[in-house]
Amino acid sequence: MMNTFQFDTASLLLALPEIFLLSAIVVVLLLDLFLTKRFKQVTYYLTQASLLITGVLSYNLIGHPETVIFSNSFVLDDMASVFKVFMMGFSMVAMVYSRHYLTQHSLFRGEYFILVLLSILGMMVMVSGYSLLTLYLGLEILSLSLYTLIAIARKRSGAIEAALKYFVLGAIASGLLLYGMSMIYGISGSLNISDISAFASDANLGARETLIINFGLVFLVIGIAFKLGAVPFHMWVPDVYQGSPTSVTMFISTVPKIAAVAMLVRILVDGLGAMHAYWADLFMVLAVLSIALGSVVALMQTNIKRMLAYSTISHVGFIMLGFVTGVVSGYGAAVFYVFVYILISLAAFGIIILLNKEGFEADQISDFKGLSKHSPWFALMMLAVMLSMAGVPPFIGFYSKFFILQQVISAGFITLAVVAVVFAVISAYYYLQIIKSMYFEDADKDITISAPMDIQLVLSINAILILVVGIFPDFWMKLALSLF
Amino acid sequence: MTFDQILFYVFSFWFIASSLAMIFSRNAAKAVLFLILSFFSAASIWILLEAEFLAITLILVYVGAVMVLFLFVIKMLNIDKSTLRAKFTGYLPLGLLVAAIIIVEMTLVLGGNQFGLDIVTAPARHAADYSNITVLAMQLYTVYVYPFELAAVLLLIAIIASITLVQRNELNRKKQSISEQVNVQAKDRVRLVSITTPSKEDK
Amino acid sequence: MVSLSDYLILSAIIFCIGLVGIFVNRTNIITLLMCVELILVAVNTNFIAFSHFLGNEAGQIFVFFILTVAAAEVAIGLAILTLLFRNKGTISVDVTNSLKG
Repeated sequence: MMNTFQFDTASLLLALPEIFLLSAIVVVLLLDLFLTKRFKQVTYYLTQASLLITGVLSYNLIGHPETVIFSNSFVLDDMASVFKVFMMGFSMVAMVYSRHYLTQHSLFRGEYFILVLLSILGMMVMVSGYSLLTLYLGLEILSLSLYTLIAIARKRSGAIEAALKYFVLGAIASGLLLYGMSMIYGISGSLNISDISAFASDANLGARETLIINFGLVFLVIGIAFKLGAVPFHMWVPDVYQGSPTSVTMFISTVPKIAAVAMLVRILVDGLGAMHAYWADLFMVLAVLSIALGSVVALMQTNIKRMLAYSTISHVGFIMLGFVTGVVSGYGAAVFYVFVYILISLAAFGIIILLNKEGFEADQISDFKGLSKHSPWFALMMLAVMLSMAGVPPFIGFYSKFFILQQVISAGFITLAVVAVVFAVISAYYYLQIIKSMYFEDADKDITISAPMDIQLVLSINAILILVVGIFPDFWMKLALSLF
Repeated sequence: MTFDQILFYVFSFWFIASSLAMIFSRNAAKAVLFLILSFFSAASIWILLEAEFLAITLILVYVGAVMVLFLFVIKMLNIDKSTLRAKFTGYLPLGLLVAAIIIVEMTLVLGGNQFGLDIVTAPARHAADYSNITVLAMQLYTVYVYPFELAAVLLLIAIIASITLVQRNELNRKKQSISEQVNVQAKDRVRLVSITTPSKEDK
Repeated sequence: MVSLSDYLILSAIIFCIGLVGIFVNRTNIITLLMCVELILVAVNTNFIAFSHFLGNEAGQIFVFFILTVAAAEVAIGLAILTLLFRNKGTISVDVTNSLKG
């Protein structure tokens, strides 16, 4: 036993982003205790600095040949590094928006930033996870931090209920995922993704082995679908989005999606890629249901956070469609879709947060009435965001849908593509509804924007990126393709 | 029947019976006690599987800490029993039916054709001097050192989370400052202001 | 001798009892949390049985971590529950309710 174990201290360098982030968390946690109220902003700046440095460290590891360290439980490849860089970038933007919200709703506490950093650490572990054990631990680090982040608004019973709902359903999902993992372990005899992959792609796999893998696969897919929020395992999504403080909603709906997709890729593509024919069928059903239900139910919402929740569900359907194709270009399109979705979502939530005032949550669609008169610039940006979500060219949202559908059609699922397009057109209606109330209705309350410069600046850049990346999508698409 | 089998069926019976009693119990405190019984049965089953360390851990950590935490919260919150069972009966027949179907299906998949003794042979029992804890510790601190560190992070989150959520004295809470109270002087407390009373002519 | 399939069927039964418990106790959060624990014990039994019959320790190590995670999870779950009780004076919430449209 001992002689098979090797530990090379040089391999620690490959996990440097994680190690740095964990050390930074501990430092910020301790420092925050000694900061008086006047200097609380220091925690925020340290958080941003930690994210920035972690991002730079991950960026330096791009191009490193695929290496598996820590006794086959940690993988460093381009997918891991690029995902980490994007995660840090998006998190930094989310933090800029969050600070404004937190100060206005007196939720600005050091623990908030520490929990965000811890959840990001969990996501990094998931992205680099190369054994079922590390993937599970990363997932739990992420989930436990998110439950706490929601409940951090201790005085709002809506937020507490949302946290509890998320907690119970998340725990059940983990249980199902673990049951699936136990089956995969039991039949393949290993927890490592590479061993499982070797086992599953064995040409002489008997009927008994295939049966058990499929049995486990059902539980794994249900667990992953739960975490992604795909129909029919979506029941937590609308309530959690609506109940959580908006800054937490923004965080939950964006960055963790990267980690969920990474876990999906590690388990289903890297590990059980040979079983694609079996899980793709399950995915197809989940994807169609998600796109359909997400598009139709969103039409009836009056709360914009709830509407965005259903919109997320339909976007998740599109992401899953990319995995149905079973080809590398399809997976690339799905990853591209995730990044685009996060970019757009961040801008959408940024604008919602911008409309917030001290003690007032702007979370109704009617709160957008007459925005064009009071603030034409931000109304224009919301227009770009909404058109992009609806998939109107030349905005980036069009290309992400286009690439997915292109792959779905070339994989031969014409009906699937038609269904997706029909529901995408239906979903355009509720995005246009917001545009209508911004431009053609008069404000019934004061909506002057009094946000600090940093959030206005970052938000503007974010929205302009939606257009600019939409004009040159090829580079990013190539990047997404190069990860597989 | 071998002795192993008798033990297995006895423990399984208690495991299943107490789990059922737990989910149908109308009293949360009793449910916790039933769950403790099923944990003890589970631990016995694990000992049959030669996982002694985990069996002991289950009892020490679960029964000793987690279940006591449950009991503590139940007693602390003083839960109103009548509201808890409002929806209980409505879903019961459907739930039992679905569960029966799932159990039959799972039994078919996990039955003797896939995992019978002729397919997966039972390993020989370990020798009397076999130490389960040494074997696990060897693995845990070498091969699984990375997950071990991650578990430390998880426990850190649990600490931060539970303190953040339930501690009552918030930072901006109004509280006494003893040193200020002691050092107070008359001039801080009493302020003499001259007030000119309006004369009758002004009215 | 007791076969692997006996152990797996036992844990499948416990797993289903846990799921039924969640289904019938939808508003009672404390019992819900206990049902989740039951599901985890079923999964753990699975891992230990496989580990025993395969003769490798990875499964037992996994169980070690599941126990750690579950303990942390319970601590956070009960903390949230306490908050709910402070805010609403009750712990009765229907977690599966999403019929609000």
